[in-house]
Amino acid sequence: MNRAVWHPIHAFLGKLLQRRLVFVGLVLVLIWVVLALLAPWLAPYGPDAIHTEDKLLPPNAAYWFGTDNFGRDIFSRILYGARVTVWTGMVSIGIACAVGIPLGAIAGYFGGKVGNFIMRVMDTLLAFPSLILAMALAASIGPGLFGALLAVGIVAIPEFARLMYGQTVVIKEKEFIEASRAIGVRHKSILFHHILPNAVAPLIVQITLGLGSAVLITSSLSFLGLGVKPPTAEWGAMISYGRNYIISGEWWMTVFPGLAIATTIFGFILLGDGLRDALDPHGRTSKK
Amino acid sequence: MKSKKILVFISTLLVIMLLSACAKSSNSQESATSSGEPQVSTTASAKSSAGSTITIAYSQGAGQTMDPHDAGDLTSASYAFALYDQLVTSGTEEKDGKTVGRTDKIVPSLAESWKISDDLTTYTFVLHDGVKFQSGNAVNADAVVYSFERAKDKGESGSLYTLANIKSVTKIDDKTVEFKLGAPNHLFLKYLATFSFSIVDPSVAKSNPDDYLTQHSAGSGAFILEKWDPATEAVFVANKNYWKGAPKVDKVVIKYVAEASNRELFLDKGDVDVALDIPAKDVESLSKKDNLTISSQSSNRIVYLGMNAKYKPFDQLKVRQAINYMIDQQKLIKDVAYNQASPLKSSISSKSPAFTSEGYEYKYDLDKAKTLLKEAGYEKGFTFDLTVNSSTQDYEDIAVLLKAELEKIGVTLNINKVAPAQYRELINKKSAAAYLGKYTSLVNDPSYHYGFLLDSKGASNYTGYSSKVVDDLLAKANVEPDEAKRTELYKQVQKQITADSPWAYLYESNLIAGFNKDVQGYIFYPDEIIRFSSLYK
Repeated sequence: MNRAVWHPIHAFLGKLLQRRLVFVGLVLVLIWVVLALLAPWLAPYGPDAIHTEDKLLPPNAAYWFGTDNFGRDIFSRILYGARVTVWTGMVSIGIACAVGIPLGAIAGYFGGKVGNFIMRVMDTLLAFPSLILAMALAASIGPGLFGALLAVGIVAIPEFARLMYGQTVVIKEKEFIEASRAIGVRHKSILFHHILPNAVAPLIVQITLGLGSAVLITSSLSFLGLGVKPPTAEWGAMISYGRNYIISGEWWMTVFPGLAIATTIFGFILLGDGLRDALDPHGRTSKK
Repeated sequence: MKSKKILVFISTLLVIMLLSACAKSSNSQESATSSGEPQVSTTASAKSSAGSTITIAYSQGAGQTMDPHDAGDLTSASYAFALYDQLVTSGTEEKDGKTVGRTDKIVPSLAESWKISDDLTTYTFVLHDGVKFQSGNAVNADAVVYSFERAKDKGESGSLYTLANIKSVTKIDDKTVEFKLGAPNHLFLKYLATFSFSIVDPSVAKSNPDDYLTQHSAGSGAFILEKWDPATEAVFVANKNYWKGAPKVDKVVIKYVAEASNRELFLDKGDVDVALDIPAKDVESLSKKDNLTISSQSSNRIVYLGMNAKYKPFDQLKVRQAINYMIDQQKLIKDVAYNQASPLKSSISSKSPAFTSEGYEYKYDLDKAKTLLKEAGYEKGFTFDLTVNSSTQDYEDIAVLLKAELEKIGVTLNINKVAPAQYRELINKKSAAAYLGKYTSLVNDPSYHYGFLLDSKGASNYTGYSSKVVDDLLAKANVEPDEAKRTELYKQVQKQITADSPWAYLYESNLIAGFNKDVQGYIFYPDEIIRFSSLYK
């Protein structure tokens, strides 16, 4: 059994790492995750440590990415910001998976009025651009990290529900499901043990891509003042804070957090695309 | 509560849709300026066609009105002063070669003279001859009586009407009006000079629906409202027949530009002539530019940290004192206000009559703060929420610095940064244990200031401060006709409040405005309201 599983995974990993861009994506994501985990040990200063005598310094040997208007070290704040980003990404996509996948599976498997109702609700949510929906939700929940997490999670629910719905509808027509049903396996068991494992591949792709957009939406919400509370170090909030200083020439307050957001999202997108290609059973795209 | 949240949800969606609609139209519009901002490109073209137009960039546009009796914010107040006259008005003085407004000095306006009875409760005003409203009707006693009737029924002016304790307004003859007060009030003339008691044209106001004046003008003022869109701009044209002499400009255009850096860019490029609310951090760099003049003057504005004694641990004087000892005013002035502020040593601005810093002995002292906390039983510190309005960056900056300071004595400060509407709701209900507040007294006098802020019944007493001593002193001072005795009473009030420390004083901030070099005639008034009529270029 073990060998049987090992072999496809090995092939899959080989397929995945053949692509240079995927590798770049994986490295970017891993770097940020490691930086986030090790932030307290890597950061030269505390994220909120104030050194007013060193305020608004451009990047230099003591402060690699410069300082903001309180003399806080931008580099340290970006490292700690990565923790917020990784955390919000995981929790919000966790919420989306926990709600979206069961909803999609139920709608797809049972169909009928319930299924129809669930999917129409999802369509309604999908009708709004995700950032706008997230803003409206965050504004009505109230500012704060919790509100932002929930808003980003809710926004991502329909994507997972729809994906799972599509997968379930296809898989449930397969012979082995019919066979299971014929021998009297319960619905719950079929859903968990037969349908879900067969739908995992596209879900993983969706989770990777979803993490990217979760990072973007959380940063956007913080930029708009709907995310974290000050003085929490968060990339979107840092950009929002720094934008008042762009015309007076303190570019480092916005550029570095901007780069952090860009590289993270870039990493997730490359990784997600690569995973999709690698998991594609037909191997349509075999470009490097 | 639930329906409110849904309302917020729906309205946010609608606003966003509106915004995105705007963005679309701006893309299709041909943009003349390199900034690509459609609003400003229209200004630029308007400027070249009209001879003398002054364009002013305001930081806020929403939520105001053209109705002087409903006006409650600085934006609406500046409109009221442009469109309407009052019976009396604030004077000016020459100081260092500059003309400066004096809200504590009253001079005639529509009323050319007045008599005050010996018991100080009857004021008789004689109106100026031949003054006409913009409609051509004469400004007469009937108009004054009507305006005060109208002011009495409106929310904003109504509260001032009550505060002024006006019992009756009667017409004696066509040019004479008599006011009777419930009790002597040394501030009465100063109240009359506020925009709330503007004189409106009864023929226009009466023949139209009640809310007509919200969007139209019917005054005798130096300007006439030409058009107004609360989201983008307001246009005022000069009243050529203005009885004090026509203004030197043909037009004043107000642009609403929320983002401070945009206001600075537009000012620097000459797209606007005047920009209000320039961030303090940019004063130094902008002052160096040859094409700009930056005016940074101390107004009546005070910035403080309010602590509500209803909430633990602020019920203990020693805790409030400890917080006071953790305030480093010089540091705040340097790092938050970029030196565009001065220390605040009383609960009232140093520009106010009767100001005294006596009794203010606080200075930054870590050990003293620690000792006080220990005595109060909070040796290990405590945690509290500081409610901060998101409208101004400075307040968030203050909060961040205070948080870092308070950590040194084991106190955890959570910054509760909320939108302006939510902020007002929180502090109005007195449900903020601690908040950052600012206040600018429109009438530069302790009676008005304390009547709102620290009298136990004060409408803006957000800390719920209630002191029998202070209330009694204020009541006594309000009816004290002798200025020297009154000053003494107000000094006692200040000492008592400082001793009770319901607030931690932070600083007195400057009012900062930017001008292009060719703009002349700006007069700064400590009430922070800009008057258009003196501007020219």
